[in-house]
Order: sequence, then structure tokens, then C-alpha cells
Amino acid sequence: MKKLFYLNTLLLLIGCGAAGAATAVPQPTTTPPGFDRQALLENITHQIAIPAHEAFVARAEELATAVATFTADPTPETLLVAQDAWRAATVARTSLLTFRVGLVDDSLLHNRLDNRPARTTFIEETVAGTVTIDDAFIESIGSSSIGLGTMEYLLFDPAGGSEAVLARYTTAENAERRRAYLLAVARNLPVKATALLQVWTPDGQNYAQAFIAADMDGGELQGSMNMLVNQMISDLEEIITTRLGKPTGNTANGQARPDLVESPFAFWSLPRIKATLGTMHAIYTGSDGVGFDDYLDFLGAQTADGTPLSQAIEAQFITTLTAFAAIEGTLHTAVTDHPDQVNAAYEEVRTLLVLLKVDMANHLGVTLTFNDNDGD
Amino acid sequence: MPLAISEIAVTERKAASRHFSFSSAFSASSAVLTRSVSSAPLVVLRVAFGLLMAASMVRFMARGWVTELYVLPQFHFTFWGFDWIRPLPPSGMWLVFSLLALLGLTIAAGLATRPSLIAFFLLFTYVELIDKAYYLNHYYFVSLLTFLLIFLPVQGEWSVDGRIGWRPSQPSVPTWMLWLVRAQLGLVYFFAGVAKLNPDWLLAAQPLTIWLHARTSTPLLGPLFDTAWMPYLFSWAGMLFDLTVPFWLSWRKSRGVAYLAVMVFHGLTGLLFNIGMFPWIMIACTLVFFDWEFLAKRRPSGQTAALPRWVVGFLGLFLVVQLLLPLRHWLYPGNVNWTEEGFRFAWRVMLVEKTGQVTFTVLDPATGAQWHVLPSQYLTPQQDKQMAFQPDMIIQFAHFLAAQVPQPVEVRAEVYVSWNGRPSRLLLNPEQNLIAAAPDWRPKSFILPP
Repeated sequence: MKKLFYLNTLLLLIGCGAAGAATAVPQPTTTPPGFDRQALLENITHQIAIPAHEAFVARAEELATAVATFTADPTPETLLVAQDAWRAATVARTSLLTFRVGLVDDSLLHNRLDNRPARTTFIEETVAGTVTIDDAFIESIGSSSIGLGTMEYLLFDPAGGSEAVLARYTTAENAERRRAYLLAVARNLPVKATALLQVWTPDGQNYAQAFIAADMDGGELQGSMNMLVNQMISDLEEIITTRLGKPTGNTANGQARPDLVESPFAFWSLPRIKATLGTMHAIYTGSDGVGFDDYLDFLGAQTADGTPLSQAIEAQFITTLTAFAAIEGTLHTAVTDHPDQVNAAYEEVRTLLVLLKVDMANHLGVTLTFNDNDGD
Repeated sequence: MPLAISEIAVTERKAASRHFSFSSAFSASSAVLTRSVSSAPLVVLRVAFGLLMAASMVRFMARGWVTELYVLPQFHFTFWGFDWIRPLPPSGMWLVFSLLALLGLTIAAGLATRPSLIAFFLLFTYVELIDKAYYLNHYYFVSLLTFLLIFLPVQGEWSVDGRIGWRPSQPSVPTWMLWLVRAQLGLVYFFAGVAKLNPDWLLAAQPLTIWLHARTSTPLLGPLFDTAWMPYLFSWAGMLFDLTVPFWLSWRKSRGVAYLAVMVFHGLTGLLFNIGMFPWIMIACTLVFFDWEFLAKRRPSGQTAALPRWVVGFLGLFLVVQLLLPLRHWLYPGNVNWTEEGFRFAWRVMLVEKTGQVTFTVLDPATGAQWHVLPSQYLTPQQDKQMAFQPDMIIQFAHFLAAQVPQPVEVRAEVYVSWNGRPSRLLLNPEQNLIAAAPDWRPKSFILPP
């Protein structure tokens, strides 16, 4: 017994002494116990997520109305209104990306709303064909032939401009069938947008309730905070690898490829990317309420120079959004005309990714995977 | 005054005891080790372990992990020296896991016991060697334990083999056979405890502070996890438990309480953390510390199982290797928790909370063209997460990336890692062309200090 005790003490001393040379780890700061994680999720759900989904439903309805007006009376004016409505709707949709978690992700509705690139050959074949184009038909076809991506193809023509678009709906062969196709796709959008909202709300699947309840560890690692952080990381990685990476060539062979922008007809890529980052920023700060920044402060997370990590991340969000705002023209032109501006924004996203995926995730103990971890 | 004869004898004995005699100590300990005892503990271990393995394999298949871990990934992180190991086609992998489940049952039943153990060891170890991103200490332990059991008369008095006459019943075994298995188990705990003797664990209560904060919705205890003292309590209790429990389990008087502690400790960690089968494996295997004499049909006799000398020698060597492997990290420069050099096969469990992010830059020296690659484009989230802080895996993946393009390229990596709440730092020199490095056991000079 005694020997065992001495052995333990000895080992303890040796261990502490040997390990003492390692760099110091920040001491956990002792704030008053308890952080209401559900309040954080409640704030994000009710102040950010649901209003954003409601806004998208409104934009989708406005777009459907504008398209109905345009198809009933195709003029330069009605086309302009429809194009503007499309721009507003697509920004509203891309600002929802980080909420693709849990049941929302399972619903696959985002796929039906904005799948890219549009399957232009199928769309043209259908317009040129004889199949009845109605709501049922639109429901039956693949995601790449409906939604906002398809409407972008149908409403914009970078080469011919608005005149060419207008001609297709007035004088061109099959103009009537093209009008029918556009209208049916537009009518489908608010239906799907409403379905997406209803995943969250009590008149549908009421996911908001379960989302708020499963704050950190909802059993199978599906804690809502984990899911949100993982989705932010995944969205940032997508901006790096695809949304900016492909057109800049930064993730291909280094050669700029303007044709690979995500919005290749309306050239609306930058507002879409900014919308995604904007919502992510709102989730992080909690807008006017409790956000991840407050939680990091509660955990006492610091940067290397001792400033709060929450401030460093906030500063990086601002720097990143500022870098995007500084890009002149569209992404399509900027990747060749102002590559330095686009690359600056790209680099800021990379820095933001490290802060969220490495620093913030480390303090949150966010488990990024769904398999067993090691343990004792 | 002359001493009485009896006093002289006592003095001589004292003198003798001061001069430690190796030969007498050896013969004494050899007598203890070869003493005949009941084989029941081995039988209990065999049955518990076999059933647990069968359940574990069924669980693995039911969760869809065969597909997720061995079918879907387009790249696997092989182990150094085992680069030829590849996953089988999907049907083959499913067959392997089904066979492993079946073998768990035959091991438990004691049917074709030794062939079952050999087959289980080979198949299980094969699966584990496919991808080091999935390395878990308890999988390694399963391989080691199965390997040991192959050599021991685990049929005991209770096996189908014995019942149908395939293998003679073996009521008695020499003590050393039990202690060999117990020592293997004890090493897991002991080295896990030694690894906890570091300032992060003891003085900053990390990573438990991080982990407990993330578990505050746990019923009853949860609200306490936001306090500052709870992680310290868990850290120190965990360290003392790991370091000493093999000894408490070995001592007859404390065995019952120690086993209770084993159940509470593993039950709690199993409840709190996502550590799969590990708690159940330890709870089941530590049963071997009990003597289970009430199960014995016959009193242990002098007729114990005997093994050829070379086998005994080999098992002794095995144990020595097991004692040294966890210490090999001292041969590498730097802190093993940061460099990961010598981290695996060393029972360094639940020791760090680490997150990382790697961006690879591929450079074509001929054209000067360069581009970034994020590993998530090729790897599963689990592989991505594991690679992000393990230098040998980063080097392996760099070689894979180079092989994706026809021309010779250089590959560099910008690796940011954060551990136990520290701000992120570069793990590797970002100027190092990783194609010039090999993913082997040698120390990597381009690992930067923490």
C-alpha cells in the first residue's frame, strides 16, 4: 500500500517536471457558472433563421408575381422587374445556406430551389417539344431544370442582352411554350420556399423546437451548435474551393476561368457569396442578441496576443466583407481585370476559415465527425 | 559476550537478506509464476470478449460504417510498412465484418477456439491496417489481446471444443498465463495515466474543461460542467484512476472496490463522450483480474497447461515490446502531444482536443503554375479531421495529390493547429516540399515548435 503510494507520488513528480518545459496553456478563466446555450439557439432561430426564411418566401412570391406579369405582357419594363425580382430572390436564398442543418438538410428542398448549373439542353428540348408544361410537369422533372438556376438561364442573356431575352418570349419560335416553362418554374418557387419555411415552423415540421432543445449534445453528436459550426465551416470551404476557387483558378490550375462563376448568366455571383457570409456573420454575433461571440467570451477564449478570440473573429468577418465590397465589377470580369482584389477576398476567407475551424472549434469542442472517438 | 546459537542464526539470516540473491529471487518468482491456478478467468475473459466483439461488429455494420469508412473514401492512409494493404470490394468488406461477428460468437462458445482466434486476429488487424485515420487505441488493444489469447489454453473447462473432444479440457493453468493478460490490460491503464502527467491535464484541466463545457445538457451532472472546479476533479481523478487501478485490481483485498471504480469510471466516460465500445471492452476485460474459483469444476491440480519454451520466450519478448513502445516518443524531439511522433500504439487516450486546417499548395515547377487544394475535396470529414494535425498523414496525402497530376509537382502545406484551447499555430514549415519527405517513422525536422 505504502509503496504504491510512494510510487504514484514519484511518478507524478517526474511527470510534472518533465512536462513542465512545454508551452503554457491558457488557464480557463472562471466566469460565473452557466451559459444558456439554448438562449443562443433560440435567438439565432427566431431572430435570424426564421425571419430569413420568411423573407425568402416573400422574395419568391414577388418573383412569381413579376414573372406572371412578364409572361402575360413581355416588355422591356416587365422583364427588368422580373430580373430584379430574381436578383433579390437569389440573394435571399443564398443567405439561407448555413441553416442547411438537420431536418432542413434532410428535406433536400435547397436542391429543388437552386441547383446549378442549369440543364440548358433539357430546358431547350422541352421548350421545343410537345409535352404539356404545367405545375405537375415541373414537379416531376429534375432539380437542374427548375428553380433559381433555371430562371437565371431563362431571364438573362449575357451575350444578347435583354433584347435577345425579350425576343425569345415574343417573336421567337416556341415563345409561348417558353413563357409557359418560365411561369411554371416561377410558380413552383414560392411553393418550395414555403415548404422550406414550414420545416422550421409549428404549422409544418416545427424543427425550430427540436433545434433549440438539442443544444450541444443531442445524443448522436447532432447537437445544434455543432451542426451550425460545421455548416459554417463547410460553407466557407465551398467559397474557397468552388465559388471563388474555380473562377479564379486558385483551386484548379491557377488559370482564371470566368466561365466558371456560379451565376454565369446574370453575373450575380458576388452578391450571392456576400449573402452567405452576411448570414454567417449574423449567426456568429447573434445579431442583436446572444451569439457565438458571447459564448467564446464565456469560455475565456483568447488569441496569441491575449485579446479575446471573439473580437479577432469579428474583426476578420468585417475585413472579409470589406474585401468583397472592394471588388470592382462582377466576379466574371474581376477575376481577369482585378485578380488582386478577388484574391484579397479569397485570402480573407481562408483566414476566417482557420479562425472558425481551428480556433473557435477547438474551444467549443465541436466534434466534426460522427464516428467513435478514442477514449479511456 | 558470546551469542547463543539461535541468535547467530538470526544474524546470519539478516546478513543473507541484505545480500539480494538473484538466483533465489528468480526461483521464488518462477515458483509463483508457474503455480497452478484455475483457468476460469481466461474462460470468463474469452466469453465476455467474444460476445462483445460480435456485438461490436454488428453495431459497426448497422451504423453503415462499412460503407462510410471502407467503401466510399477514395484515399486511405496506410500504415508505414503496410502500404500494400487495400480495402476489399464492398461485398468483401461486408463479408469480413460478418465473419468477424460470427468469429466473436465462436470464440465466446469455444468452438474451434484457436482457429477462430487466429482468423479474428488476422481479419480484425487487416481492417485496422487499412486506414490510420480510423486508428483507435481500443482497436489496437483488441488486436493485441486476440493475439495473446491465440497462445493460451482459453478453452479452460468450458468450451464446445472440450465438450466434443476437439481440445482437451484445461482446468488449470500456470499463474503467469493469467498475469500476462492482466499485465497487458494493466499497461493500457498505466501508460494512459502516465500520459496524463502533464501540465495541460493537471494544471489547466485541459482538454476536460473544453469537453465538459460541451456536455452541460447531461442529466444531473450537466450543470456542474460549466464550473471551473469540475474539470479539475475529473482530471485528477482520471489520472489517479488510470495510474493505480491495475494495482488495486491486482490486490485481492481492494479488487472488488477497484472493479466498482472501473464500472463507474468507464460508465461515466461512456455516457459523456463519444467513445464507442471502449468502456465496455475495458469493463469486460478487467473481469480477468478476478479468480472465478467458484466456477471451477475441479481444484487446480499440478497438471497445468504447458507451452513450448520458445512460445514462452516469445510472449515475454512481446511484453517487453509493449513496455517500451509507449515510451518511444522520448526518442523524438518536441512534445509528443503536438508533434504526434510516437503518439499511436502508446495508450495516449483522451489526451488532447485538437483541431486543424490544412491547405495544400501544388506547384508545377516547369510552368510556375500553382493552386490550392483543400483536403475535404478528396477526404471524408473524419479523415480530414484526423489528418489535419498528424504530420505523417499530411505527407501521405501530399504524395497522393502529386500522383493526381501527370507532371512532377511540388506540394506544400499550410497547417494551422490548435490544441487544448491554445491559439492556432503553424504545425509544419509551409516552405517544405512534402514530396521530398517520406511518411515514415523518422523524426520530421520541418515540424515547427508549438
